[in-house]
Amino acid sequence: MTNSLQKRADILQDRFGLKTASYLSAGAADLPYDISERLRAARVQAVSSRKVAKTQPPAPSSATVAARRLPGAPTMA
Amino acid sequence: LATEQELSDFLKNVEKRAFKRSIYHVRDEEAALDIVQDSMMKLAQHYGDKPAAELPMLFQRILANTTLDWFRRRKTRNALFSNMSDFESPGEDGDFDLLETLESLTNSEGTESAQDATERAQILHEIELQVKELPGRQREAFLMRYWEEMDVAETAAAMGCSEGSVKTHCSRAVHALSKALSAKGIKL
Repeated sequence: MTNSLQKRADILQDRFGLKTASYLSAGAADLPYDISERLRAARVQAVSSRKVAKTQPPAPSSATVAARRLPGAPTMA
Repeated sequence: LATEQELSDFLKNVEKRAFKRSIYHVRDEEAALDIVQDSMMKLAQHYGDKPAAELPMLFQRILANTTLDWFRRRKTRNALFSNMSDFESPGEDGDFDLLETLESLTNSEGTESAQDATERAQILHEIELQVKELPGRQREAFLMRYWEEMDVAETAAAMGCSEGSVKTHCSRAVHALSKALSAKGIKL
């Protein structure tokens, strides 16, 4: 009984929260042009300075490694 | 790993909400823009190579920390210039965006009746005022949960607190907002 009441309270709370957020979203969608432009410029600048993962040289295949370890194996040249 | 396009799309999706959230916290347009710009740069420079799925949580954390840094800097600056109040420009109380929001809302709703549009704008105005009045942690938890649509665990991780605390903050925020809006005759 208590659980179901708690669940109902949670649902009502979530519903109120989402409804409130929908009003806030409507407000945020209509920001003044100059603000939107400055945000866009900031985004472009941020993306241009993006950290790129360091690329490592491709690892040699297992067959190549094995061949190098074998005495008398043919050279790859 | 997030591609340049994914990072750009992510930022485009969150930038306006991030700006509004910063406004609710700092109540200063220029400061809010600086905070969002700094947060975007930090995300891109330090975490631009992370998987796209990790970006929302990382960005929320960065935004919260950058906002906190702004308050710390302001506190230090205020302490430094406590006897030099001339440096503070008067009247920067942040009500500009409400007026502009009201105006743009009214203008943008072409199919709505004027009465509906006005009513909606008034509700938004009142909600924004009441959100600004919430204690910081309650506001943060409430906005992450319901505006950013993060779940309890994600919100807790972003805020650096327990899931129980998030639930408590959200519950208190909803009660406070609901009570304040009801007092103004607003039912959602």
